[in-house]
Amino acid sequence: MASTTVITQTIAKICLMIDMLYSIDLLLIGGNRPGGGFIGGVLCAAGIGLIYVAYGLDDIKKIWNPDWHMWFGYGLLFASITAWSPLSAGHKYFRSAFDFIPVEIGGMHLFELELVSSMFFDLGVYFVVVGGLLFIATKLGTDKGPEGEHE
Amino acid sequence: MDPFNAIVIAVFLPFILAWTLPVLYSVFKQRIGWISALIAFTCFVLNAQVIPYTMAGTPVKGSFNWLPAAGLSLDFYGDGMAVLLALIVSGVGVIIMSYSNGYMSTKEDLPRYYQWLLLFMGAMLGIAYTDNTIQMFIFWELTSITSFMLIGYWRERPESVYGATKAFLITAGGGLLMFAGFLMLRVVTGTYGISEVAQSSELLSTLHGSPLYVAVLVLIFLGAASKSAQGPFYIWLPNAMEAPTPVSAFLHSATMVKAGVYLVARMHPILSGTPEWLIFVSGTGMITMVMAGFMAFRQTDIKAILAYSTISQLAYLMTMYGYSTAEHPGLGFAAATFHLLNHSTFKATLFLVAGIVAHEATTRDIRKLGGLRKEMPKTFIVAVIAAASMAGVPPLNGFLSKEMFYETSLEIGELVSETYGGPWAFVFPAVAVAGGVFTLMYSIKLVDGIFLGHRTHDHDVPHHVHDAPWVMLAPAVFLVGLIIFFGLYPKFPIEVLIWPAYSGLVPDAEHLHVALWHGVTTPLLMTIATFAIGIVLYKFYDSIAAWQNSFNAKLPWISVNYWYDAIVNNAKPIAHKFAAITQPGPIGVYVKMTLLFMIFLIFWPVYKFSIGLGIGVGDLLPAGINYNAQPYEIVLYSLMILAALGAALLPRYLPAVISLSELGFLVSLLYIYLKAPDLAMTQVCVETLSTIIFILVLMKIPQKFKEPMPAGKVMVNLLISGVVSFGVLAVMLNANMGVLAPFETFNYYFMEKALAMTGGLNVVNVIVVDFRGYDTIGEISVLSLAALGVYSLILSRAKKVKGGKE
Repeated sequence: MASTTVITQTIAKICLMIDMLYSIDLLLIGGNRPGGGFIGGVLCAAGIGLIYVAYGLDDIKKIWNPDWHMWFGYGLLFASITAWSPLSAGHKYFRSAFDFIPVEIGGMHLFELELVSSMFFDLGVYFVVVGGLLFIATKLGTDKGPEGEHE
Repeated sequence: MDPFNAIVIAVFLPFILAWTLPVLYSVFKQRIGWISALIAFTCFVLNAQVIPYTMAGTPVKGSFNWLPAAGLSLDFYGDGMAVLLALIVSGVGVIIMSYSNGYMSTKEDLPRYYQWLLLFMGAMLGIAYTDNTIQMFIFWELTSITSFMLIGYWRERPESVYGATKAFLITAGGGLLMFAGFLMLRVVTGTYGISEVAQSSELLSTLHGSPLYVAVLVLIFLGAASKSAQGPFYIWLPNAMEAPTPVSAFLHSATMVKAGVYLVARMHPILSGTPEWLIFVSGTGMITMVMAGFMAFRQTDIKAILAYSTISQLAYLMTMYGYSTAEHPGLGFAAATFHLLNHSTFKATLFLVAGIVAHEATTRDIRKLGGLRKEMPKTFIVAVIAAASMAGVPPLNGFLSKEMFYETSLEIGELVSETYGGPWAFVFPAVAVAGGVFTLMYSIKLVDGIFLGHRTHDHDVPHHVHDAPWVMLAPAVFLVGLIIFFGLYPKFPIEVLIWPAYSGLVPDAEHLHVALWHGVTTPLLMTIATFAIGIVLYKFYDSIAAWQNSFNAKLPWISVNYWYDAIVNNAKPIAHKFAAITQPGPIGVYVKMTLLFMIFLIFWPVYKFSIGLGIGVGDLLPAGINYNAQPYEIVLYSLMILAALGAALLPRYLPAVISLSELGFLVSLLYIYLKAPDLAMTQVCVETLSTIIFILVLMKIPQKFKEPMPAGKVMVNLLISGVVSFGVLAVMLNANMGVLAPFETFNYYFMEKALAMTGGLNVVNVIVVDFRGYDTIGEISVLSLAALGVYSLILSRAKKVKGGKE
């Protein structure tokens, strides 16, 4: 793996923190402001991909080597279950629901928590995107082609 | 239990529980064989619940809504015939799954094995109880698929793969013909229901008077014949013997091959009673019976002999179900049904014996075996009784049904010669006796070759051979018990199983009287003749086999296998040639084809509608375009043009790729100016990620210069991309100016409804996850598939590189 500078590595580390937080934020606020599962997932994948590039795929794999294909498998499963679940309550396929839950502490009204069922579907999308993109990226990165073997 | 519930649970229980086996395996390990046997036994008990109803002559019926929009429902119908098949399937299932505990090594992939066995059993029970042709077709093809998986169980062996593919191509192909027949039946009768047609004399007379009658009969019969290995379709069954022996015993002797015969029995009230039925069903049966019995001689593998014997025995059944005239539609029905039951008992036993011999003596080659009677006395006795039943020796059950076969052959011969004249009164019984003689001869050969004579001192056979362990012997002994019991007390199976099946499907069924001793009758004389001829001819068994071998060597094209191989082997090169034309390889060609087609799609309507209007190319762009641009826009556009030029012209890969992503980032900047933050954000992220992936790939590619392109190619590429760019520009401008958009946009709908219906303010995301959720779930599936596709592409490339080096 090509070696990178300490500067790249340090920046990538800091970026990853911000990136992950922002990615989760994007996933959660998706319903009301620009964001959503897809963009959140892409951002997460980009952040982790950056780490892969900065530190080298093989070194990262020694510490942390998740099965990305399981991620998109479970994501797909989760999204499908979300889509099917309204049937159990007698609704149609893909029917969504939402509710606002007031959050109070000691009788003082703080804010309203919005619960949206399609959020879970978005979570499935998020995992599919993260898993799918990083699966491709890691497989491409570890590919030992003919040139790779000559090195 | 309510009999209808019993039927439905029996059909679906194996399907549901099969998926739990991998989980159960982690707890129970190799004992899951007993668990599957228990599941099969549960199905057996559930099936037995229906017997009182069929004996009373009241079939169990019911249905569920399935696809009401298509007029389809799940119909179940439990009459005598259905219960008979279901009991055979689940009963033999119990026996096979118990026996497998001894046969299958604990190192095998047991969950996969038992899973497919259970799925197969469920599919067969589905065939037995279905009352709907569409449903029949689905279960029918399910048995083809499960059979494919089971024949190919040892998937690293090329013979298994060959056998599995052959069986699948032939039986599933036959199933498609059958499906065509079902659709024609629907066209004529207007229903998918089976019993509905069978019980309506009006529909039956419509069908028999219809010009499509022969087509329906032939197509459905072709499906049945391919499944039951009749006629030229027999070739898959010998190769299917590559399956583990319990599978062969279960699928390829006792149950799956019976599906074709069962279909003929099920269609009997609908299609029988015509000369065509007699010709196709009995004719095919008689030819197959004699040919397969004869061809068994040159086989040296025990299982191959049994395979040919199965083909021949199934042909007995076909022949008897075919015995039918307008006055006596169900002449051979009872005999055939009884023989169907008996065949399951003795043939399953013989397969179990074959498995025991192969397991203990490590070979199935009859030339290497011999003289095992002293070392395997219990197996020897079991094999002798089962073979004797197959050969028709009294007082075993095979004798009874063969007597009935001879009797009905005499009757049909007389009836046919009364109507049409000719030598038919002689031909039918003669063919039947010929089939019986061959059966007797290979039955003797089986016992003789394995157990009698002297031990050959072949190095494949161990010095000392043990008798079978009880796990493998007990199921065979149980079946032998049934063989003797049915032979001595035929009243029991006749009253409980055969009579309900017979009277349920043949309208004016005559009372059955089956007994061991009828006095000296013509069928008895025929049996005696069969034994006499068979024993005399047995002396020439080996010379007949040798003659067959030399005949086959001289005329290879006479075998059906020769033609099958010719077709299948030639299909591959033809497919390769076709692929070489349509998919030549370099991506550039595909891109060019796509772009050319895009040009066609853009400009063809313009050309088509502008004829006679005098519209020139210049008129394609709408008039009154606003060329005023803000200074920042001009800067942005110039940068974008520069980046695009860089991507196209820079001579090295890395700068070109960086240039390309620069273009992407500039586009996202444009999105921000156009107040589309969602798009801009997505664009930035996707661009970052694709750049990372590009760089990952580029690391593997030598950093040399791009190869220079010939000038002609550059010109062609420029022309194509220029026309496409102009076309897209024209479309976009026109769309923007409202020329090509006569429809009102419906974004107001989403704007209005989004908050009220979904509680979300971000309309873009609400559309993605809510309004257009169907699209999204499709997209994420595609994304997952694409990821897997990329992976398999990399794998195949890595393999090629490896293979090339070796």
